[in-house]
Amino acid sequence: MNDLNIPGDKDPVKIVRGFDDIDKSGIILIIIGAWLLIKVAERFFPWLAERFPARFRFYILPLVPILRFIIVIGAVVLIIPEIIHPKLENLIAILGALGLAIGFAFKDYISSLIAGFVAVYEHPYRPGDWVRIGDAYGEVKALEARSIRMLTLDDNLVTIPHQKIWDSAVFNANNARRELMCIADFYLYPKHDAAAVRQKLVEVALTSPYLQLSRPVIVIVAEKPWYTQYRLKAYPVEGRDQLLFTSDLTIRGKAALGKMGVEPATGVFPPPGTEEESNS
Amino acid sequence: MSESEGSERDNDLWRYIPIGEYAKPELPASDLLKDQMQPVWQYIKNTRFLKNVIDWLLRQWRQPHGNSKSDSAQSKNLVQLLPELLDRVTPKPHWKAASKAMHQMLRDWAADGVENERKEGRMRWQRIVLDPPFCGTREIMEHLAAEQGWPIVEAPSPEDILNGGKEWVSDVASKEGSPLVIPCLERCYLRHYNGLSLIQELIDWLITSNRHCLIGCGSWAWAYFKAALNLGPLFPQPYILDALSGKDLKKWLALPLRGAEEERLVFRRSNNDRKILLSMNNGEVDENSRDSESVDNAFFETLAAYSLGNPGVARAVWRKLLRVAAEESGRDADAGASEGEERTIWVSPLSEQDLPGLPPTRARSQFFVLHTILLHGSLPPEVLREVLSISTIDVLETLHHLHHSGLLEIDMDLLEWKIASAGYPAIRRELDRAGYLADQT
Repeated sequence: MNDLNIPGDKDPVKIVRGFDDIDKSGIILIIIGAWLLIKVAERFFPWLAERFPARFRFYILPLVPILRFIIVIGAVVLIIPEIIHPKLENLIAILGALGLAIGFAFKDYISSLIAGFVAVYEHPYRPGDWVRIGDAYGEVKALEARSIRMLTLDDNLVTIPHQKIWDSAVFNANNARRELMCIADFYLYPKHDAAAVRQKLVEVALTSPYLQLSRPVIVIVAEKPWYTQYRLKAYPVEGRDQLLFTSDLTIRGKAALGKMGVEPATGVFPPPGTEEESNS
Repeated sequence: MSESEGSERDNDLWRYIPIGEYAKPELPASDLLKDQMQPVWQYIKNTRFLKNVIDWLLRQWRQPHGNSKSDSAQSKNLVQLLPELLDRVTPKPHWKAASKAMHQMLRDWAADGVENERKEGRMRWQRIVLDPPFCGTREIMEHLAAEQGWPIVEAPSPEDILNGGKEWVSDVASKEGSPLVIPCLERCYLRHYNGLSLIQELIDWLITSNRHCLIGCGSWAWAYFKAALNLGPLFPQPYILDALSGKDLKKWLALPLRGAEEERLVFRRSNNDRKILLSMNNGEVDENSRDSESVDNAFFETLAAYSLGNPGVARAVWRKLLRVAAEESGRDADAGASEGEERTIWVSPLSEQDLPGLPPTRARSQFFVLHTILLHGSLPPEVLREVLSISTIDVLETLHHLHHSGLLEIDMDLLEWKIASAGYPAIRRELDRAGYLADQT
């Protein structure tokens, strides 16, 4: 009969220590210590990144989620032996049960955590990047364990779980560079000197105080049924100025083209007030 | 001692070299470490508790190591020099020797350079000399042109530039004499959508006309022309005044002290009392005196690196560092000195000096104004407003802030805003950090 008895240390009830046997103060200290370390890392690395040249920012800031992950894992590894009897069989039993529970209840949460870890290495986005995920476009402000926080151009803070990278395209506008391409569109009545307009638009970009002069200025011209489209592509010095830069290009572009006597496309052809209109 | 004698003595300080050979003076290794630690030190200074702890520790350390000499800087209340004395020990540079160096550089080119280059198959009609701020290249070029009888081209007005400047370019083309001197190419354009036509017309004419032209151009404007108009491959390699090393600076700053036989000036560092510069005897630096062993040369290496080897900036910073004991401050600069008397002028440490720096707000408009002024040399507020497309109030407010911070000043000859020389290193550093196009110096 003794052979059929389950030994005491393999009794499932005995896998977990008794409540009185658990070192509760030790666990609390580990949790507080881990929390403090995470907070220090969250403040120290951004502070450090601000003080290093900008090119180092994208290497320093991603260290925060990695450290946070390591600290959490370390804390869990330290706490587990305080709660269960640290034997291989016990660990397998606990992890199996946890896996089952997580598989059903926290599937998405764990998927996001794993995706977050992958994102740290694959760099689909980094703090400071300008990205579009789904309908949201903005600057990545923080990489959390489960999600990213993104500040949109309309000043909305959007939280997006990392698991989006499994099945969605991530459009990264600057990919760890400070500057990103901006496009100002001009739609003009087709009867004009296209070469002169193109040259003038290049000059509009070259004389913008926002312009990053080390990057190229490009003007793409496309003839459409009712208008000629010009796409003025250039990079601002600071990616955060993208709306101001595009506005500056648009305002000064309109003024420059107006002085050249080039008419914008109005939807009414020929445009009112032109010589052709009076002839027709 | 006459000015001409003085200029002969500093001839070897000035060298015009091709831009490809230009190298900035490097910071000494000890200062490099200090420079890297600057953000940490700044953080400590901003945290009162940490600052108090560090101050207390320094006090404890200094007490047993303190200097007991009665004339040490610590025992005196140091004040800034009165303007008369300041001007006597740091007079305005006369650039005569630099003018000779430029003439030397141009001599072969101006005489038969074109013929030689034609034989070599390189049609290089232009000689471009870059003018970093405060290096006096424009003044030197104008002085040289007047001396040699070379025709000088006056800069166009902002209205000429914005209207395309075809007439101005044809006026230039009709000028007689050779070589034609265009001393400030940076004043031949405006960073405005209608402000590039004139410079493009001028460049077209320069390339096609086969006229012998000496062109001076601000180093920042040249960087802009290279990036925006791709001028680099169209012209020969520009020349530039070589950066002054620590040794050069020491010699140059000592020049005005020659001939002060009735009074021996000694420059000491206020933080360690070490001598860094002695007045000259009979026109020579007093290197062989018994004191020379203790002369501290590292200071000038640091000054050269901080001022980017730029003589105008180095002089401005040097002026800001000089101090005298409060009780001697009222003493007349010229009177009251008996023969052989020694007078000490204290030099504050460069790192601790309150040199002009950008306001902590780092507003976008401040970067715009500073960068635009550097690109054009100097500008009046109304043109600045036109170029930046921002409101007059914003322009005036920004100018006021930057003037208050010691970064801008008014050019009284042109009545235009220009960069203050002592603030230039900080401005250049911050613009570069913020990602704006900077010159090669």
